[in-house]
Amino acid sequence: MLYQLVKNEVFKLFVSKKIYVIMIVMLFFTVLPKFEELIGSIDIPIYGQNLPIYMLGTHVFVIIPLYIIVSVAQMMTDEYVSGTLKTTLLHPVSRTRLFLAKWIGLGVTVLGLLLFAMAIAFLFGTLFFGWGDTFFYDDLYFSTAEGLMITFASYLITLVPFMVFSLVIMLLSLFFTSGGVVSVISVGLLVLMNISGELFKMLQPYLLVGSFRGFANDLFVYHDLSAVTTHLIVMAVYGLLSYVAAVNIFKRKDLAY
Amino acid sequence: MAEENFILVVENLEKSFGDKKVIREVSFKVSQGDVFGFLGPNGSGKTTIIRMILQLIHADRGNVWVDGYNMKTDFLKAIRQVGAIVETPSFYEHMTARQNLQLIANLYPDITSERVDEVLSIIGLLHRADDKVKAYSLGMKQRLGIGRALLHRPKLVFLDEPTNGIDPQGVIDIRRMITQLAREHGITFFITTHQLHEVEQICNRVAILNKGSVIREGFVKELLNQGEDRVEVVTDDRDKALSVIDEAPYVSEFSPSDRGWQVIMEKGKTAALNEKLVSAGVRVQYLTPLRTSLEQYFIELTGEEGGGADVVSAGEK
Repeated sequence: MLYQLVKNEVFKLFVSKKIYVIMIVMLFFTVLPKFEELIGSIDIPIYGQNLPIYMLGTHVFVIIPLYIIVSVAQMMTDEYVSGTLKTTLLHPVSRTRLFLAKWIGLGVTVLGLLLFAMAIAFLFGTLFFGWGDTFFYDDLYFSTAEGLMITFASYLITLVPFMVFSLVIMLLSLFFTSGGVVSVISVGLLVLMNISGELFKMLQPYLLVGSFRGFANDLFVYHDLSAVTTHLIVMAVYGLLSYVAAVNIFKRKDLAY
Repeated sequence: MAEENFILVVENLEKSFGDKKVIREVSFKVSQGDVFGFLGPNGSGKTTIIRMILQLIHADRGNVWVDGYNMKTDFLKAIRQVGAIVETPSFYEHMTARQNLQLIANLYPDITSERVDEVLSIIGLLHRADDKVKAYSLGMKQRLGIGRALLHRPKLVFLDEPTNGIDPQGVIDIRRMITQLAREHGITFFITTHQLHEVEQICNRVAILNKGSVIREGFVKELLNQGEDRVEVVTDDRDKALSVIDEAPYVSEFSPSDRGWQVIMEKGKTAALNEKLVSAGVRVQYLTPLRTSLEQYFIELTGEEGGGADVVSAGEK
């Protein structure tokens, strides 16, 4: 049953135009370095093999969090208000399973977007700049094989902080009856976390946004075990608290629409 | 545990919003095969009760059994027996009708794509199955909603104001569909409606709700035929007839009509009145039985004036 519910959620997300808009935006940002090169503003060596790891920073900073926010607003709040949420619950489906299915379904599309982003970065990076001899990233040199491993692993592991972020937004979505309000408040929260992290450096490790890029970097590039442990604890706390609170609220919520 | 013969048993449902108690000790039973009308004035709590029965809104107190399964403790088994439209049917408007039905079909391993087509055919939308729902009229959406409610072959179907906002032909089609499904497929329907004549036309049993409580429940025919006969005495001898009617001890009320007198009397006394009139030499042309409408009955019971055939305005929450 959970599999079928996830399938439904993934289908709904793929039928929605939002995911294709996000893919176009990703495409735009991926070809942007070529224009930057043309106007001479690139000061690091960019090639086909290292463009994806640089692009990951762009995608995780704004694009994918925005996709998560608008998707959660749609799949939770908008569905609640439009009455389609209750339609599913009028069948042998428990609320906990439906919540889980929505979360996993969103995770599947986020993973799809990450893989899409990686694929187009390899493609356009190679087309525009050639493959390159070595893998250069953040003042470090790696062999091509190491670089490819780091890239693949980084894209995949980045799903983890985004799954946690999804839970936070899903919890938030249960308090409002407008998808627009959920989106605005969630974007505000995202901006606030980013600004707080910049202004107060000691806070940075405890803000979830720091793990969006930091978790993969600390794990696969810098091999910083202490930082990785902090990321894991922070994500576990955010994730568990959000999940327990959201599921309890969702189970008790009167579906009045 | 509920009695076996009832497909739906509702027992002492109560709900408060804040300090205000909106549903008070609501209890009723629906038998297998009934087309059960749930009638009540605006704000009486009909939709809230449906939501409570379906566990969309949590009751403060009370129990609901569907086909013997408790909705709280055995929800997944109980809800398997239920199809429902609560208020206006909601769809993913950017998807086709077939895709919307398929989303529900995916939740049941035994529902095939052939069943989806069969349901689309029953509701007369097979030829528009691949159109997006946003292109559908309200009547088509209502039919699609009924189709979705029927997809998994439920024993009990809840329809909340099923003909609300639909054109006259659409209303006829939906009523015909309900009657046909109840008769041919043995499906029990639980229908809330603000149209009293709709209850008279398609329901065999009714519960009347007022201010959050069920104030009467029973067979429609029996409710309309309670303890009295209503007839029109058609005669030219109005004055002579009046003296007979006035003296008859079993007559409780009478009033002039265009063709004679309208008389309300004890049940089963029509023949006695006729005999008395004839023996008094009154030329009785006809004795026409007058049916109490559900509207009259409803107004008498609740003191609510409905405004034509409707008891409440559309869009009740």
